[in-house]
Amino acid sequence: MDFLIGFLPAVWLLFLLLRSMSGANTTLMMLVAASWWFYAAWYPLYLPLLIGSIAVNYWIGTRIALAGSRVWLVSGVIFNLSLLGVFKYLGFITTDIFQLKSPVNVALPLAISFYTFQQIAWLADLRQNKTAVPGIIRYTFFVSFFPQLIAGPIVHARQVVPQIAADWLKRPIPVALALTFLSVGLAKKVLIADTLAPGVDLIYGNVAATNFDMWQVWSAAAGYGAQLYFDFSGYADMAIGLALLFGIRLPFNFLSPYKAVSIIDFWRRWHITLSKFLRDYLYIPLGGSRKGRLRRYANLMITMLLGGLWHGAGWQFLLWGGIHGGLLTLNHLWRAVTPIRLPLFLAWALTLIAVLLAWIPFRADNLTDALHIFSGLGRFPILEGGFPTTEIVGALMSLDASGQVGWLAILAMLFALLAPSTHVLASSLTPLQKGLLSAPLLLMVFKTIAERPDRVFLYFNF
Amino acid sequence: MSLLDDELIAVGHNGSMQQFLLGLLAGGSVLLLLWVAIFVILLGHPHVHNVWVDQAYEKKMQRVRELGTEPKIVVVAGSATMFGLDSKQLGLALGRPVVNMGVNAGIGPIHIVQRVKPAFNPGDVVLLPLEYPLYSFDWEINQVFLDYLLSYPGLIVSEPWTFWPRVLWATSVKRLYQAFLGVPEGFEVPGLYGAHNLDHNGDQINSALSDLHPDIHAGAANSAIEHYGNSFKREAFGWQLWRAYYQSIIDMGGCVLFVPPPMLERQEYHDDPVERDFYQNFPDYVREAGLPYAGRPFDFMYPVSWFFDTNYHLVAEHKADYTQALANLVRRQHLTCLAKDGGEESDKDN
Repeated sequence: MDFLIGFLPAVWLLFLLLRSMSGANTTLMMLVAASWWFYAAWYPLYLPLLIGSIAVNYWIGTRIALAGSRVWLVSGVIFNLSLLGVFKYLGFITTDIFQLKSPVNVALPLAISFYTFQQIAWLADLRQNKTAVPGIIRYTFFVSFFPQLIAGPIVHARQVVPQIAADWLKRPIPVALALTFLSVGLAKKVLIADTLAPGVDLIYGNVAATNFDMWQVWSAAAGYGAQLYFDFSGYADMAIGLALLFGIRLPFNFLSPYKAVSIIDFWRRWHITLSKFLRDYLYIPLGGSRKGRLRRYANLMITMLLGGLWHGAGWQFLLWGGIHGGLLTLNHLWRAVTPIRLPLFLAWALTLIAVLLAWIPFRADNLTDALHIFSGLGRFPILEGGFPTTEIVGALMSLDASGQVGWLAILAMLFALLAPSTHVLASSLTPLQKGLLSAPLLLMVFKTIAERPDRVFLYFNF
Repeated sequence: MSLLDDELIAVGHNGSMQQFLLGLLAGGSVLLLLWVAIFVILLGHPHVHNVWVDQAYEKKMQRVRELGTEPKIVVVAGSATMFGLDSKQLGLALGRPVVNMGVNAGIGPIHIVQRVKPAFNPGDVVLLPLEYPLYSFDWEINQVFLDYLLSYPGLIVSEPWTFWPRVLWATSVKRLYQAFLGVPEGFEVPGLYGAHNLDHNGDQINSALSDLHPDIHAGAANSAIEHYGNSFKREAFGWQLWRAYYQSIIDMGGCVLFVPPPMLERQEYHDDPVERDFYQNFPDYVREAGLPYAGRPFDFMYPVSWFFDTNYHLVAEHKADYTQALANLVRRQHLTCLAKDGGEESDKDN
């Protein structure tokens, strides 16, 4: 709430003022300072880590640009992975894998997974002459820009830096479009994801005490699947909208992923910037599909396992990555060995079921819990009483899915399947329609935030 | 990688901005009007959360009606008194029947005053062991107050102009939906709160240690440390309200005495200078507001083992301690109403 009614208006007004009065560098410096303020507001102790990471990467980048040496690229990658290793994975490696006492016990620095990957990509792009070394202020802005700093989308310098060239401050600001993205994103997060959240927390917080049946497995899988989608895609929409307010275009991160008709299709729609990163900077360098079918599938598995681990240090993330790696391999194998193609509806249903079930280990506190939930797949639910209309309406009116996650997940899924993606919606609306949509959404969001504490975005944890 | 395309960006020119603003205004207005309309339609509808309060007041008024014009002591406050007072014991000590009108401080002083006014007859003594927020009430909106207000909106007529917009903003869709559903036929109040757990005089029953959950003290122990000193406002509306109530009782030939409620003692109230000063000086604050006050708040703070559920609710075993302290305090006052009746008197100690 403080962000929406305090930080954002203040920074935007300052931006408009500087935009009309001074040059790009002053405006960029203000935005960098504001972004660091924003970052430090979460956990000030990790701001030096962010600044240090930017400084070291920039210096290595200049070495790569000067010498073109592979050694500097490798050094940069090692530096970035070491940061991730120490702050994100050391505890997991020592305690979970080697059963040792962790030498450090630190909180995960916010956004480290995102800004580290962005900078690895920049170094690799430099080495391949896909980008150049911008000025230090522009580079710092590219990494720190607050709309995308915390939870993506993962952007490339080659996408952002050209946008802050000479004509940046002269381009009109698409306020209507920006506020439409922002309001739709906020509504997805506050009205849908946060409504599902208490019910989902209840399910995953009481796994051992619950005798799961198929309906409860659905509630766990679809409830979390819907919560995560509306939470993360809501954040992505907000990031796009916020960036547009400052004249910056960010890439889309979601394209209605639950409409996917195959796992391959799913990964072209879900967290698009991460999948592109993994493809361009991991899968292809590993050899991609160029070294035979077996090697291709092995590369896919490695990529998805590491993609799973990127989300967090834990066996459940590795399992989730492994499941998706396996499904992708199966999908490619099917395409390669048989001309049979499933009817679209069946393909979509199978894809959706597989994706939703795979969220269970991703969300569960541990593998034991995940397996316990899966054990319910063999049990048919016992139907008691009539259709719980009053309870469902009550949960909707309360904006609290507790006890009704399964039904509310169905509604959320229907919405995800039937509604257009935000950019399709935004591009199809006239300015008047954008206003007609944005104002009620913003009012409902502010009202809801005023009534209940806001929840942190799920991807802030990754 | 799809960036937003330029065609999409091009909508940001001035003409379209005017259209967008028009859309914002229209969209916002329609939703607001719709909200106000639903709110107004459902205003005054009964709500399940208020049933126990209404039934509790009704039961207490039955006792008032039984006593007729017999001089009595009316105790006015919130639930601290409902749980903490032994009316029979106080009545024996002061030589008059006592009606415990304490129900729920959360509904706010305006509604409390409105509900207890009919309980008074000329010659009655009104004791007010008010919970501290009841003095400092300044149109704050909490859920209990809101629930009650939306069912009984007509009582509030002198509110500042900002009040109803704040109520409109604070009212949730859920609350309006509950108002729409109303109180189901045959609804019975469950749990500890309500008329079914009040005795003849309006005192709480079934709140003895043996009646309660083994973790009874947890709610009190985990209750928030209050910062009444920090939020204390001498100009708050609550003071005006209690002055007006006091004056109305005096005008009708009654006696009034404000006294401390029972409250959970915390070390912080002694250590924090702001809080310590507040409780030490509170009797003076009340008197400076033109209201008679007896007792010292710290003398009516008790250990956590005496409380359950909240920092104001005494378990039944310790009602007697609070009641005795209250009786001693009242006996030491020169209350003319009690003097006529032959109640014991001694020197004022405050």
